[in-house]
Amino acid sequence: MTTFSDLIESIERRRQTLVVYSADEETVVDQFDARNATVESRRLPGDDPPGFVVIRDREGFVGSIGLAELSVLLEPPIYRPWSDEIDDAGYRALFELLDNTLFATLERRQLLAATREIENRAWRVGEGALHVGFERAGAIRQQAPVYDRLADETDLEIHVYWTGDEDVPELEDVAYHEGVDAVEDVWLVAYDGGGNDLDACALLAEERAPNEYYGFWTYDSEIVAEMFTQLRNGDG
Amino acid sequence: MMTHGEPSRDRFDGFLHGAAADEVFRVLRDSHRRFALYFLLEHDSVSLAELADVVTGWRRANSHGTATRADRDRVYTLLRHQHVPAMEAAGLVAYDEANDVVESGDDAESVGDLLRWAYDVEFRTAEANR
Repeated sequence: MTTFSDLIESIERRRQTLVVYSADEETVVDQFDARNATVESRRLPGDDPPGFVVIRDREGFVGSIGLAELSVLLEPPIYRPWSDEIDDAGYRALFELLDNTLFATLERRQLLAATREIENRAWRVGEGALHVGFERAGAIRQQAPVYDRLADETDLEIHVYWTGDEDVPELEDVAYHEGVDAVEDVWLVAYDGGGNDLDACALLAEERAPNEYYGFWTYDSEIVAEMFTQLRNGDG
Repeated sequence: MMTHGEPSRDRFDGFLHGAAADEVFRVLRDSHRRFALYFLLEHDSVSLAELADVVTGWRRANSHGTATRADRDRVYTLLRHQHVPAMEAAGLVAYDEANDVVESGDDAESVGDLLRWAYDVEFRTAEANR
């Protein structure tokens, strides 16, 4: 049976190249520690042009982003899922460009920002299934107001998973799955797109050291479907 | 800033006048072509595919944005059918289609100062607008 770790390994095998165009030797790209990407550098003339990074896969150009814009991801602003600011094209593009990139040292704040982007899609579509795995019951308590509102104001089918058997706040219209060992030390959010593959998205990361996560986010509906399968299996 | 001081008058004398000047300035009025030429200030040669990546990514970075594969493919087509031929006609680049190599043209050196000066002005302006 495949596990979440297998899924992360399958992302690790999807190679990509980040070509950094800059006048500087070291750039913000170094700080992201992308494990499935080869980083190449090409010099730009002059002292201080706005540098950028081009993401390439086997078929060539996937996307590009200015280094200044990319640095927002180091400490991203955290919006609420229903905030219009998430819908800002530039903010969303940050996540879209780097999907299926495997990061070795993501921090909680970065994962929370990516989570909010996923929840925002679910909020806007307003239907479909949103599955959320929590490492700790405490995290559920913290996020309860968010899921309360999502459940209250949309037709989303919300499932919450956690590993222990501690008491968690009861939320109406939210399905609870306790004692799911598969989500131990795992931060997981998956939305099926509500019938539209283009809106399917997910985030999966393992906490390998305190506040140091190894994982990725994706807008690939097949990978999202795979996560749903594993959640069903793990729930036994 | 790139070191240029005042553009040297001597070097422009006898080159940028009349029809040649019109042609060079026509080439430089388009940012796709300027960014391609700026890249060639630093690199001896580049494939058309990479040049399309560079022009796409750099122009967007200069206006605070991201670019998609569709954006890049549009730029590739423009470079191939319009901009590279225009720069070639002005002698500013040479394109070897068989080997897919774009390099500086025979007349590029004589407008090097002009290009560096344009580069400084363009990026200083971009910086000031931040």
